[in-house]
Amino acid sequence: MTTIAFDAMGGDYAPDDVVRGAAWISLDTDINVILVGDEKKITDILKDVKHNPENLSVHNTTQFVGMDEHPKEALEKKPQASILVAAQLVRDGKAEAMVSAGNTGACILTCAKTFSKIPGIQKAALASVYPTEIRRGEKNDPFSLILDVGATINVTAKDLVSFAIMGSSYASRISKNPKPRVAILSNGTEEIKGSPEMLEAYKLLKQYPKINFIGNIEGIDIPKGTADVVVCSGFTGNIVLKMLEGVSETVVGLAKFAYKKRFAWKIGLFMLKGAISQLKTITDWEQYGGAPLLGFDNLFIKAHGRSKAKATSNAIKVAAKAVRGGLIQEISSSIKDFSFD
Amino acid sequence: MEQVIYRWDLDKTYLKTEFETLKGMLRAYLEKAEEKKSVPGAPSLLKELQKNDNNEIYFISGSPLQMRKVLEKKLVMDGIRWKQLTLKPNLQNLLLGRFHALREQIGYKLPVLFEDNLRRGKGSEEILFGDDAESDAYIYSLYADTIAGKVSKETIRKIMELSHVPAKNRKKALSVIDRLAANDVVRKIFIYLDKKTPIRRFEFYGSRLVPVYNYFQAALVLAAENLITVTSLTRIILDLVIEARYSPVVLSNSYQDLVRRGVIHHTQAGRMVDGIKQHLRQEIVPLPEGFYDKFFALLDGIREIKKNIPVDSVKPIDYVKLYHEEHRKEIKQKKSFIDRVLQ
Repeated sequence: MTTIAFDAMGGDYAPDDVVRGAAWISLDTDINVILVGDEKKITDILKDVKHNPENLSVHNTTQFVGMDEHPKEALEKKPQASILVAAQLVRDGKAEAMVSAGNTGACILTCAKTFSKIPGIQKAALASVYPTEIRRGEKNDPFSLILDVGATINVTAKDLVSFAIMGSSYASRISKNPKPRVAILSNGTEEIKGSPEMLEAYKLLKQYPKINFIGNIEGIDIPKGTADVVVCSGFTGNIVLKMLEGVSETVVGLAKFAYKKRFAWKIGLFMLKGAISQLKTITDWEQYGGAPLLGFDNLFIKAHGRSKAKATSNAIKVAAKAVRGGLIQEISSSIKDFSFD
Repeated sequence: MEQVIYRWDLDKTYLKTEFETLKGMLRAYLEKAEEKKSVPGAPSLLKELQKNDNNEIYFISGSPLQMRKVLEKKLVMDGIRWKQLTLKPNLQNLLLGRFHALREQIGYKLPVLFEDNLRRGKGSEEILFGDDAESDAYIYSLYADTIAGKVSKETIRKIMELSHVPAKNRKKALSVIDRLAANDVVRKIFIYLDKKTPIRRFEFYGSRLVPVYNYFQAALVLAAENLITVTSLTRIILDLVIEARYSPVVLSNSYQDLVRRGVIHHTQAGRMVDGIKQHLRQEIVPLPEGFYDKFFALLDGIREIKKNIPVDSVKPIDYVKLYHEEHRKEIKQKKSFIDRVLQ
């Protein structure tokens, strides 16, 4: 039985929807979820949903970090914040991983304060998934992994290499992709393109046989799915991620505009309804649930801030899968194997 | 300990039965006693209850009379002794063309309960066990409040009319009510949540009715009410661990759920934790390594939840209104039943 500590107070729709997500999980898996948050509120929500309390418990704390709060100040002011308490449960061995849909900054800071880094890793990386044209792995996974998307702004070559190793381990364990293709996101595919750190990382990764390094890729390659693991600095990754989200929102906005503008376009879109719906299912981020913050000796899955019950339950499943797949051990041994000298 | 009458439903309360599908119904009807499975913990709880010679166990089931032999054999195999096993005359219902009565429970169970209460006379407390698959919560509460003199004969007449109870049976049941003395004897009603129905749906029945997710929870409530000893509770825990592979986490989560819901007061829960630990320490049953340490640590965590028992509403239950609500749910269930059968 895998135990996951879940920050029940984090996220735009917390605690209602995230608790519902945990309730779903309790019915059809044997994952034990510790809901960390306001016990009264959580118990009240559970009364309205089908759930199995055999697989659920509540760890009471009334403090939490709001989505708009300044992470550092909030965590200092609230030592019993749900995100902190959840991390402490993992650190103390009462849970094997934690999940939160809350304030990203607070999540990263909490992990930094509570967990230790895996020996050999200097900086943590927050990963994110992005739907691509092609599918990969045993599970026909349409998502590629991008890391870092904001945890580490300034990176060294060694950081980029460790991101590549961690991303590769994650893709092989979670997407069941035995040889994930790893690439550095650069301003050109040639070996000589990129910053000095990227050039050095390129050389180091090329020499490491355990990573299926395919070289540099450009931004255009991300949605194509040229690489399964895209490595970049947190600064670049965050801009890329927001840009991709913005493009996707604009496309949807334009489609809505077209729908209203002309009757013929409306009919056209109506006829494409089936295909659009299928596309939506394939690219639905809710089915992935969450992405990991890698580099620490404990596992943390960050669910999207807008997560509702479905995304929440999937984030818990991803966390349990990572625990059962021995992700931390895999990363530790891969990092140990790699000689930075 | 004084005499207590325990009334149990069978299907889905004591026995794991699937009658949501035609296949499941047929299997339940055709399977042998050896093939029937009981709900984990139900036999051990009953066996602990029957250790008190004063207690009497009654079964009332919607299964047809033709299943008596196989059901009795199953109960004997489980080591259960009972005073009475009432089954439904469904073949008679079928032959008389009372198709509505085949699945209808109110018109069947309520008169049986009234008649038995009248026959027994005033006195013994009753504890009732049902499930959330049909209308057990409604029937048991209505029975409890009627014998306590809180529900009028007119209300019962109306409910029986709404349930299409044949005039003859209706008249018989109503004549029994006339002869019942006010007898507020139903102490607890346990509803086993086989379908995991959200517990909010049972709140208006008050604290007398306790929805439970497993029989460890029922045993905890009975121990809190001093109806079973902590020794019995410990034996039930061991049975669940050995026979149904309950883990320390499942047990402690189930316990915490009761405390969070305010079913057991936190101070009493703390005392019971001490009792369970003390009794389990004396057990010599070999359990998986580290079981006791983990279970004890988790049990101690239960003390952190501070919850008072909610006060019941003094407003009487409007059973006619509730009937319409239950009936709406029943129609919905029947619809999905037909859908499943047709699948």
